[in-house]
Amino acid sequence: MAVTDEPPSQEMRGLYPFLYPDQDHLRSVLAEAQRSTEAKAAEIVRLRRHIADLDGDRLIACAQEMATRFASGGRLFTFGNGGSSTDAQEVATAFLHPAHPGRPLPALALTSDVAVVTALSNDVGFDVVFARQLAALARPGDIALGLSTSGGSANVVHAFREAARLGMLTVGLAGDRGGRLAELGLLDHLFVVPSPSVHRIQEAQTTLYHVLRELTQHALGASLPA
Amino acid sequence: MSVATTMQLALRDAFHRRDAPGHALARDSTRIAAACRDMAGRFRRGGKLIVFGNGGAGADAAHIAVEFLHPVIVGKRALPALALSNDAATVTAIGVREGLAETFAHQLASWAGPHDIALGVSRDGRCPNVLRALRTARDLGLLTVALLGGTGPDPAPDGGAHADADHLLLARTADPDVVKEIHVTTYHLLWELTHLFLDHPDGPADDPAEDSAENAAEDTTRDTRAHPRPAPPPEPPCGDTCVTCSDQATPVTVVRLLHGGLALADTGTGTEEISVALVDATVGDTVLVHAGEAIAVVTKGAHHHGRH
Repeated sequence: MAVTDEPPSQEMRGLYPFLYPDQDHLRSVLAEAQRSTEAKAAEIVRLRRHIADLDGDRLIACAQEMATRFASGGRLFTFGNGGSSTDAQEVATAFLHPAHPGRPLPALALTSDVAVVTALSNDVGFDVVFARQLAALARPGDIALGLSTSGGSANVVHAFREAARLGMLTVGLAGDRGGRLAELGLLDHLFVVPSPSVHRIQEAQTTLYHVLRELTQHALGASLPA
Repeated sequence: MSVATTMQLALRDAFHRRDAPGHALARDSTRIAAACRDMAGRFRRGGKLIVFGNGGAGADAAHIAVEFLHPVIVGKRALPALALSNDAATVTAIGVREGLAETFAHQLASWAGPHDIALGVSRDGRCPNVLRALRTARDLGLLTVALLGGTGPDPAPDGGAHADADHLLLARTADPDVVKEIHVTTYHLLWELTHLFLDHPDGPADDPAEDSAENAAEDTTRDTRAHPRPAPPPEPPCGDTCVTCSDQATPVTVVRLLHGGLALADTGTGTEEISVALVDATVGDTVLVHAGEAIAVVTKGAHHHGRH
């Protein structure tokens, strides 16, 4: 099916800016689906490049500090809600069991133990599910990495407060304008993906934590992936 | 070279490595659109989405399931989705007794209905349990979608994913990190564009796999006998809030029952299409609706027609 020649920039002003009343046939919907795919693929490529310019030096600084912590026996604790909980899991797995050549590094996702998460939620409240685990498990030389697309998740904010109190290295991944995580002013490193789209924010955060892992391994002396 | 210089080079290399596969995704727009059209057709018939993957791809399976079940965009209908890799107890039990290769196929055979969608994620395209589950899914008449990665025309020469997936979506890079990043954009698009087709009144009811499954009636019967699949009814939630996200649910009155577990409902300000797949609702009933899904019957109405 032919794709129209309209520039993709026109397609990015909203989620479904292309549902015009005269386009009610399957053929049109297919064409619009294709065009939306092309626009969004171009958008995330641009957003990644923008982040490389925006955050490159800060990513290096963060990775070097993470490497220092790991080299001194520090461990990584990761947390987030919903889709971000799966990112927290991905980060923990990527550090602990790297697909690339590199040292396995101790990492734990605080979302993976359903018994702990539901017990804390039921007995105390959902806001403390990560903070209380950090209070029990973490030491001053450890690293806390939390993800929130809005930057406003209360349990992520509570976790960072606890992490800062413990003297952990704190690394936050947020989106849009950073929300409460940006207002807190207590994070050692905060990377904010400048996009209004939750989906693009998550995609760019995936790149951010992959690059952080790669640079951390590099700082620890591992070779780069081929 | 100083450490600072090599770190700068590593950073530049890392971001550069993502450009080409990122652009390549746009070239798959036809395949992605076709997959979403067929997925919408299955959801419209009352099918559910079953997702599976290993390691980080298992985390992707969970992300995909929550994306469909509890959309980030307010007002989008909750669609039934299940990640097989979430069930660590069952996965490890099957793995230790029958071997890891049997994990997802075994769960799928027990859960699957013929209108369902199987979505397998494998970053190198070679995971034996993902490929085996896709084959089982195809045998059972499911729509099969494979989210794979790798380079070259044939990323999985020893695997049957090419033969066993109705829709093969490939992230064109050998770097598993970058494969994941392309996959995240791909499944965000799968969700968004599936809703685009669902929202469209003239969307398709059929897809090629559905036709072939109906034509292969003997195979389906055999498979049903081999894997008896009683469908347990979902437990009806109660109360006036959504049990999964605590958002307020809205009471509406069912005006007409439609095919595929859908219904037209009077919202007080107009008529909307909702899903009544989870409740036993008839015309005249007042039901609580959250994200387009009726989650409970509040009052039984005067009319008690059967579904038609």
